[in-house]
Amino acid sequence: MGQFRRSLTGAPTCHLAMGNCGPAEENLGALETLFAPYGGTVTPGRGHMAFVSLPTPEAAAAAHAALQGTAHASLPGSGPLSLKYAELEDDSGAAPSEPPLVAVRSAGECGIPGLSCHPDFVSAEEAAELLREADAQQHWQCLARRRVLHFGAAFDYEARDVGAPQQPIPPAARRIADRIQQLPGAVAIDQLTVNEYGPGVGIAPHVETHAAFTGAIVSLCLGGPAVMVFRRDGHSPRALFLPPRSLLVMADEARYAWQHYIPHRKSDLVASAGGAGEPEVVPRAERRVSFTFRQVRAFLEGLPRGALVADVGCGNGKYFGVRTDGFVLGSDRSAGLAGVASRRLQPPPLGEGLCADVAVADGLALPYRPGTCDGVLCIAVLHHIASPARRLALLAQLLRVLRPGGRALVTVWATEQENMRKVRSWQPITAASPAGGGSGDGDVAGEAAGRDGSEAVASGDYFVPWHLPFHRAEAAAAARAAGGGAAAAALGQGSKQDSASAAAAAGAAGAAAPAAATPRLDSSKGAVVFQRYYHLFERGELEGLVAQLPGAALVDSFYDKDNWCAVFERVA
Amino acid sequence: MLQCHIKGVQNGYPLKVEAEKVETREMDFEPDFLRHIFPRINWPALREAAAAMGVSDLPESASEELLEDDDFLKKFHHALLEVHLEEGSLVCPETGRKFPVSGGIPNLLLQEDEC
Repeated sequence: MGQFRRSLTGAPTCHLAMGNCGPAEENLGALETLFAPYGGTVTPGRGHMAFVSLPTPEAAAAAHAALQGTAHASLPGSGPLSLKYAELEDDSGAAPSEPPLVAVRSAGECGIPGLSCHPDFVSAEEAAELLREADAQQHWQCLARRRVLHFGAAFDYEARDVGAPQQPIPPAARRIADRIQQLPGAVAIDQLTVNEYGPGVGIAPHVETHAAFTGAIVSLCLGGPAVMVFRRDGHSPRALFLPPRSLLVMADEARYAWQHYIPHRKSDLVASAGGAGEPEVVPRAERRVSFTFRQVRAFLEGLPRGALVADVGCGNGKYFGVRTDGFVLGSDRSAGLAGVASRRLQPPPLGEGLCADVAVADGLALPYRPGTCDGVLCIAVLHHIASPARRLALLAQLLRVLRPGGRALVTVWATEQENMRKVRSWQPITAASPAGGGSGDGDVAGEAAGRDGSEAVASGDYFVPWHLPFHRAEAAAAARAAGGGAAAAALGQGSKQDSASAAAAAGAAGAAAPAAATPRLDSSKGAVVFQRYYHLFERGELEGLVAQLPGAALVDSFYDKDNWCAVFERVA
Repeated sequence: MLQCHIKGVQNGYPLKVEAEKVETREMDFEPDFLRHIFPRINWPALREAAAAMGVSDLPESASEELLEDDDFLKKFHHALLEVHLEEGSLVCPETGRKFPVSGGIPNLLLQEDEC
């Protein structure tokens, strides 16, 4: 993606660099609302910084004049906004105030592998019927700049939440979903999201998290046309015209490596239909409606009634309640976390009375009989295991406890984090790192590693700081462990029973991994800082491990919100 | 913690229960779950463990046909899901290794020389 930088001249540009806006990621919704009247799109930056992209320098000037130095209660943690003109350095390093890209009319001309567009995928009659059907729904949700409608899937484990039961996909949309399922590479579609955008409203740059095909995004464009722009580090941006009734499919590189967005504009510049001649100005319509079809990967829902599920590395037991008809065997290497998880099993009001069991056990030596479980969950655990051989050993344990036909879901952190700034703040572990690492100042170490970090990036091993705020009860014991005598003493009033919760904290920090053993105190952040070991997985790496497991068949693999996920089945 | 009876270490199955404190908690009765889990239960092991925790009304043997008998299902349900070992040990029948159970949580971690 292009990098924003302050404008050197101070003359109005299409972008504003904003400081003092409070935590930008958290305040994103309110920020978008604030800049909506000017047609601005907000891109969160580091900490309390964000960037706003506007359709014209005039619009930027208007926003600047109205909002510079103003304070807003809608932005928690903010102060008077500081707004400065900024430039977006596009990827070719060309002049920042780029003229609008001329959009091409066919996906092939974009030259992005995995991108395709099917014009006239639905007829005009079908389009009208789909819109009528959607308009008649009562459960539209209004967001800052658009409204949305969800159909399908009662439970979405990816959202880590038991969602409210949703309406099934209505008949007209279902017919189109069935047609999409006939396309090569498609899977069964069980979820539909409808987004309605007003005139000129676009969408901010992002990489899609949900997939309808194995690894592909599919979206039907109705109402008015739009132009979608694709951008990627080191490549020139590409723009594709999306006529109404066309179906856009983003697979492979188009999905994972390119960000896409729709600029906020009243009209777009599109290559002339014949190919020769001047580009045409194509106005946006009163509204544009996108239908995004997908399959919710309902791993848990797919398990049989009364299923026995091992939750390996169950942590605080947050997945125990997802299926109430079966039984979960939770285990964690940390006695403290197992204790927290076991409290959920207590009958109300002490706990949730969940049908599960907790044991303290090592995932590498699971104390279950072979072939007992219908399902295995191993969520955000494998990336804490510190060598390929041990990671394979953990997967072999998961496979061992599955019955034939049973399935395991494994999720790990991906090297492809959407916020790469976050990754740069982590401490890469290189061959040169001292054993145990993490004892020095994290920032300095991180910077040092930034210079020769190529080796670490290749191996994907990092120490990721985990902050335990001083105000938490268990911080006192942890602070003692950190050797911070004074801070620990200050924190440690009446904390005799802290040891269990400190163990939980240390467990959360260390899990089954060789984390840097000694936490350190960071008074400026008011927290005890633990360093947790992570191995970030590259695309295909998790599948590669599964392929080395005799008796395991990969069923599905996908990317979801900074994670690689794989489902495999025991075949014998 | 009856589910521990379908856990084992290496050749150490079934683990024997040494009970110091047993708690009973009422759970929702789910016949479907019981029928589903039954084939994976080693009946003599469950019966022995239940007896060690003071539940002695399980029949000596059980078969699929009994799963249609409500009275049997209720006893099975109680022994499997409602009786919890709060304090005590799980003992490996082969080596005598004791795994402590504290606060209802068995600790099945192995020492380095046991891996």
